[in-house]
Amino acid sequence: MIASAEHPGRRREIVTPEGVPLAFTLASPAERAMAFLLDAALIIAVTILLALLLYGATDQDGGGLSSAFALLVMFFLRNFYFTWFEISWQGSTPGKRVIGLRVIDRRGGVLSADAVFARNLTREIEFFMPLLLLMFPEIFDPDAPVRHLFTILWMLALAALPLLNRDHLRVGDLVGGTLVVHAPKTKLLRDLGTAADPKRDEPPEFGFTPAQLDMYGVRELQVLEDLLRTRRHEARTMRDVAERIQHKIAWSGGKLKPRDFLDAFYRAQRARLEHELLLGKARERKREGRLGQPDTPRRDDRQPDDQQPGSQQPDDQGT
Amino acid sequence: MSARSRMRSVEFRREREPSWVKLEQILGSVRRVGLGGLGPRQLAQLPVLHRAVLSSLSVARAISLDRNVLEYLESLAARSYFCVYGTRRSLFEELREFAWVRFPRAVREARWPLALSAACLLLGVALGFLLTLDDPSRYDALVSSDLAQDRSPATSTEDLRAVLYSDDELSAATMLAHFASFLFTHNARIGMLCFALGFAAGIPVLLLLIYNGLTLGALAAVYHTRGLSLDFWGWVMPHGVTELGAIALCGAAGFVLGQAVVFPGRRSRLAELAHRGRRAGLIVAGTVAMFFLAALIEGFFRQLVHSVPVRYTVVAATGVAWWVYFTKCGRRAAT
Repeated sequence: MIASAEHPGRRREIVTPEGVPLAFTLASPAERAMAFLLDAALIIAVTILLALLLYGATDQDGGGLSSAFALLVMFFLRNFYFTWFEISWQGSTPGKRVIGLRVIDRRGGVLSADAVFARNLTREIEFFMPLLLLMFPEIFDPDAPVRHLFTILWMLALAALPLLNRDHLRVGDLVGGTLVVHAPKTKLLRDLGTAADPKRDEPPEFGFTPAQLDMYGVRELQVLEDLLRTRRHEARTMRDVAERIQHKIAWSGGKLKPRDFLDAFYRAQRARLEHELLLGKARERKREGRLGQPDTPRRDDRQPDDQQPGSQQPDDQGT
Repeated sequence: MSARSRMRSVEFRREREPSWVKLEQILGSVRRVGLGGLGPRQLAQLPVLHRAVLSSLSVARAISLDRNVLEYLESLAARSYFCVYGTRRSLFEELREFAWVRFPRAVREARWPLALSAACLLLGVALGFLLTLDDPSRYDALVSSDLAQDRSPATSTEDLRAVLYSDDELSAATMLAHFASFLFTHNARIGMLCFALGFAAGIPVLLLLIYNGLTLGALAAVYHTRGLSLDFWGWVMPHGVTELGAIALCGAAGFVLGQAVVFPGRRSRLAELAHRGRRAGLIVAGTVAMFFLAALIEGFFRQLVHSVPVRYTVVAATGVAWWVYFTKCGRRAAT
């Protein structure tokens, strides 16, 4: 029933072990790159800090011990930073947390440690080696230009893999069977079905007739919900929308404050549509024309998707 | 009360909202202190509340047209899903089970790829040995200069011998530096590379394995011509059993991946890759520990112990230990 407005092409549904389908929005390659850069910056910062700390303590043994230690730490940071965080932070790392991303199992099961291991082992060929190749091309076989070219192409293809498939999977995701998605966070707002003023137990009603309520469908209801939830109300938009609705349903209840009218209309409309939903006949779209007039298809009718709630344009296009 | 203020979806929300808020509080503390920081009561409530919110979501999808509530429940369900079905055990537990059950089991499951990769390695050794024996000038083509440590067919027997029993008073720090920089990190990286390259249908793995074998074989041939074979293998094998074993295992993991790419079998290529990739990744993670052990032996034992019989004892001991470990460990544990 939800018509998710953002990135309809990037929604992926998984079925949880309880059998409830959950929809996630895929992370875009750009967001993943950002998260990765943040993590990489953290790794580099820690390494440099460590090197500086050890630099002070190098004099007695000629630097052997401390440089050995630094090398070991760098090795573990570079290879197990992601694994460690993704295991202990339920599929996120500091960088992913800042951007708001999560690793999940592609089929909806538990994210296993095996999957995390596997997906992070391939970073070496996906990122570190191509980077090394770009920065110091001479260490990869300077004498064989053909082979060199082949290596570059192969590595670029690997690094660009997330751009080339529908789910933006990188090699590690393929191998580990994982997916990187947005960790969504929606706030629970006031229920518009109750009175705005908690002291007034009963919201005002204006007695809409079923015929009037049947003029609109679920889409228009949700557009109206968006409008009513917008923080900054444009008085003119409110008035326009209210007038258009009043016109369409042939309203005869006299002059009202637009906000009151829309609140009441929203409640009545929602109650009506939810009732019909229970009976299995929810109406998606509004009817054409005006109440009391025959349906006449209009050629210049805009799609409801184009309508931006809360913008300068009136939301509803009644005739 | 009028009829409309008793809308079902309003009633529904009023009834269920406290459980959503409670779940949200628990998720908030998981975010701050981790799953391990939850108290026993909260921990027990989490799965119950998770199921409750999923049921709320199903109901809301059926009866409510309040988009904010639907989106809120979707996001709450998703966040609690991350917690309940994210990785759930501590790294320590994970490691223990990994070492005693899953790693040896994964190796047993990959025995045919392992046989193939060991065969490639041996083929490389044999080829390198024969080629260099046949024409010593090939040595330079087979062994890169940083591995050779100034050893070549032109080096005197005495100098070749000296490398095997180097008497330099090495400080512990130098040994450790050598250990960390080259013996461990370098080898472990090669191993992981072997795995990652398996993605390219396994062919680079084949080449990498044979190439590593060639180097060893060529070096062995040089020593063979001077009658130092016994000393040479006594120098290589104490850590070589572990290290070559680990390389062969990484190669096997690469082949497992390659097999999934080329012959996915009944499943889709993507599903097969995910399935096998996890097993193969397990093997590679285990070899990191093996490389670590090998580097310890190579970096310290070899510098400190020069007696040939003792060196061969270590060869036999590590060989038997790995054999027993891989064939016996974790057989009884339930899946």
